Amino acid sequence: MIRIATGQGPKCDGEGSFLDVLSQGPIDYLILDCLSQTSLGVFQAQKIQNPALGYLKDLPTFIKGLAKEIRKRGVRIITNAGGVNPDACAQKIRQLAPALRVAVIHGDSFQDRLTALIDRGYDFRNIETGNLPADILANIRDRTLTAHVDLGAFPIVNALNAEADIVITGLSSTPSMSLAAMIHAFKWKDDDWDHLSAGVIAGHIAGYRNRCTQCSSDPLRVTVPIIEADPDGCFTITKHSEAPGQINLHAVKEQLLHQIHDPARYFTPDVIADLTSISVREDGKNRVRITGAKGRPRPEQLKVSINYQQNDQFMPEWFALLPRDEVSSHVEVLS
Amino acid sequence: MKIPLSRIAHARSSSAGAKINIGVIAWKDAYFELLIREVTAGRVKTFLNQLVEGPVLRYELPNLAALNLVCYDSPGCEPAAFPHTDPVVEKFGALLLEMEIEVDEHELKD
Repeated sequence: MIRIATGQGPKCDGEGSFLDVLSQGPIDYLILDCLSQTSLGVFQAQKIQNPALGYLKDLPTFIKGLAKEIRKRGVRIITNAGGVNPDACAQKIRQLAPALRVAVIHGDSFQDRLTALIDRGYDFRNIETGNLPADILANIRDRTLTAHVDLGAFPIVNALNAEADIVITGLSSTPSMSLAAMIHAFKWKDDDWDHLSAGVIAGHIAGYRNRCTQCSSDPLRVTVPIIEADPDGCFTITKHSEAPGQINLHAVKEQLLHQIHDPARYFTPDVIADLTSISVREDGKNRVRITGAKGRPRPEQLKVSINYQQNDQFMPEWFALLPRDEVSSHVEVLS
Repeated sequence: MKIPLSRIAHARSSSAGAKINIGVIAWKDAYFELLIREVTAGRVKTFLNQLVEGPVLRYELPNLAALNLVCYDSPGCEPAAFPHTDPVVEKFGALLLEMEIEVDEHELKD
């Protein structure tokens, strides 16, 4: 069994929340999901001002503060705090926390290829509205801030296999990052659909602003939820017993339906998860057990996120699709 | 008798791009049949009235004793720049729980 704690950035959750989750009990992985819908656009605007920026600035110092504890406890960190400049983020961590082995994932940004891809016939139709008005297309071509694709879990798995203490990505989601920890720990195969489905469902519940912990009165001391994952794809959503708040069936069910369209087809880069397949039950105080996850083969196309500005406003990210074979990634371990 | 939906269910709403989804979950598994019968896509659309211009789709999750309602085209509820904190979207669930449903008293005794 492995324990995966899933939080957000140090500013969002409060640094104290992470000190708590590290000190109050055992964890094996800490996931920091630092991106919200307009983050990449905001980071890109910062990078245009200063090419050394474009990532979560607070992260390297925060990691420096945690480095000793992480090494001592063997906790490994996976975070998308790299934003639009994961390389700069990784270098800074390397500089501030030289004892940590840092890996960075490349390949999520295709902004420099966007125009060429449009010219080759990809229309980047908005998958939610289904249409692509000509003025928005012009807008995207001329004023795109970012174009990124969620590479899924496997590039992160490669970084963990290379014994990274901390993995820095650009665009990635809590489900992908959580799944990566499980694939690495349990040696799941890339067509092990039911297990992959369990991994993303676990990340889906535990991610998104820690809402499944029903907490708390202090916004800078939130309860970081913990996934206790088993090799057979069953898992428990829980928290350290000392931590405030509570985990119960109602909160977990609500979180399962967060931002879901068709619950039988939850699209992720690595698997189509079926939320109607699982069984959910309380298994003791502050423990909810999820079993029976089923999944279908991963979609042919990857979801891309395009952020742009209109009238100097950051617009909500635009989701479109891009065939998998247009995308490649690689892992770099800094040493 | 008429009761508000909140007697038998809890809910949470969120936005995903241009859609709003409302997860409606029965407080007890035994109430799921009531959800199926009373919380139809058509009645949700009528209740939300001008808040939802497009269709409402209903997905059933018997395993969670829950429904997922996907509402298209909600005027005045453009996807916000910071949707996680968008109070309008988050109130859809609370609002829907005020919808009146028709049940027999014995149906509430498990």
